[in-house]
Amino acid sequence: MHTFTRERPIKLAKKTKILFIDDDEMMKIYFRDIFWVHGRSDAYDIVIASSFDEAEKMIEEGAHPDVIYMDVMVSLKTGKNSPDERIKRSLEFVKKIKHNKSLHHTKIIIFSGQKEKLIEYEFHELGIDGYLVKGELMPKEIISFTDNLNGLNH
Amino acid sequence: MDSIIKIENVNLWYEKGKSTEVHALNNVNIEITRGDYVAFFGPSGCGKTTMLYAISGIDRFQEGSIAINGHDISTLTNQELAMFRQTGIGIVFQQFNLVPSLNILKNVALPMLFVGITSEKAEIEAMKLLVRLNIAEYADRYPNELSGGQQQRVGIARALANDPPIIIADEPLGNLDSANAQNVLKFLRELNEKDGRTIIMVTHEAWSLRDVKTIFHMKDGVITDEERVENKNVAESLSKNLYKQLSGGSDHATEEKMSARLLANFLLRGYSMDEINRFEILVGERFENKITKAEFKVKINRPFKDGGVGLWKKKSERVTEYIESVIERREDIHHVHNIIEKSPELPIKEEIHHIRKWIVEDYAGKLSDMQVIAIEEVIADRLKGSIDSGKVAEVLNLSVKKFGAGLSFRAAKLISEKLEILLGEEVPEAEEETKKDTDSSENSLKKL
Repeated sequence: MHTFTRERPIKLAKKTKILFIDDDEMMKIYFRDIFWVHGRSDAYDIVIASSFDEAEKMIEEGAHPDVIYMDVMVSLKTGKNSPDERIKRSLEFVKKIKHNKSLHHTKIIIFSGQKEKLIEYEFHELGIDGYLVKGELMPKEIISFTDNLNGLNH
Repeated sequence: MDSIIKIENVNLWYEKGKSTEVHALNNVNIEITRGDYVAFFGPSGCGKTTMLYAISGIDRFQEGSIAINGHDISTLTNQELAMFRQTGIGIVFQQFNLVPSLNILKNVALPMLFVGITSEKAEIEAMKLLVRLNIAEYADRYPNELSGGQQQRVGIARALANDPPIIIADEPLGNLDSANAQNVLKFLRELNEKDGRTIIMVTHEAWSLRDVKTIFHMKDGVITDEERVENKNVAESLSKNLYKQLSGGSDHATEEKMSARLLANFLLRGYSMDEINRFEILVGERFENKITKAEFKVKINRPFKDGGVGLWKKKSERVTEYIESVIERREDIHHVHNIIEKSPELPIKEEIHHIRKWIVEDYAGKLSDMQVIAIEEVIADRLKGSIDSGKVAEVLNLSVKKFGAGLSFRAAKLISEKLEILLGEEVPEAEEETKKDTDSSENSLKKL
């Protein structure tokens, strides 16, 4: 693997790993699709989780995302499923990532239809790297936002 | 080579296994480079439209693979394919395919709504596209209030809605007059050169190839030749392809035969292949002086079912004069091409559109989309001589439910009379009067 990398350093430069967390089928397809159709599959590796439980399991099993895109309204499989509970679970997930030393470089971007400023503030307080509202960005704007995240310029 | 589309061993059959089976794509192997401007070029039924459907994931192929950015689209689920069609490719259709009940702004915003963009954002982006295509002033209008050329610009704006890297244009000039056709070609070139988008055009008309960089020649579902237009001498490439198209692949076609084919294809844009073929034969006979000018005019005026081409009288006259001027001046094929490029002769669809606007001009009521469609169908049938004036009034008067136009008896009669005046058919009483009317109606038509 290493020799191979040295032989073709540009082609096989390390891809940026994105973990996308959302339970909306269309959004999952859309997010992968736009990076693919705009020819960015060389730069990004996208894995998808439909719940925070699933995302946490992936991380425990060694997934090491450079960027996490997450909705804050992901429905909960267990317990109450109210909007408040969902946001609580999202905040809890962000804290867990922030406390995980091996993920200190991981950027967290909220990508949600939730536009409430107070909620956005709560997430900013935890040190997220961006808060994007779904439906307010064109496909290419999502890609260039991702490209421009600090240290991720390709 | 950085290929955006790689097509390998693709075979596509329609009605596979049945007696009606068609092998529409036969072992196609091609690569399209990112940023290229390519055309699939060939006669009707050569498989070029199927090629387009296969690339855009509309038609599933039975064998082979089509990779977009290295990812085979035959492995996608239906939902993923639907998303790919919204974000990966923008299609410019010959028939424009706008939604009649939505205004222009909403027509362009629609594809963005499909991918979850909010309507506020979508309308801001749609407006930017309308500005780019110089049609911002029509944002609040509805498609049927726009000319064909304007509608085609809306079609281009809509194709750009989700900012796709690939633009597919399906016979994009088919229903446009030459000025609008030039405009569309200019935009396509801009989308290629300025935006760096990959353009794929499907066409059977050589003059559409003006700015194309790679030409895939197709016949019977097979790619017969791949041509790089290295030489940017457009005129040269154009005449070469024109020659190829007109000689039908054989080198023995005479110059006269080619001129006949060129004129037939151009003057009868929008007509069926059968009508164009018959017209071409008649032009050929006239070129070889096998029939007189008068005979030629009578024949092209006769309905198709009676062995004619079904051009109405005024058009027959214009076309005859056209052909005569070509014969008199003994123009060679390049000159013929130069003349028709500047010709104001409209394709049939546009012509019907103009005629419909003119004949209902005095009608006080409001017409629904269905009524407009019914009226245009009646006009087309009358122009081609397949129905007489009495039948026109009858269909106009028939209810919309019975596929008529649902007009009152009196309105139907007045409108059908106006159509007859325009067609220049002799109305028995007061011949002088009619002639004057015909001239003035011709002028009104030109003004539209």
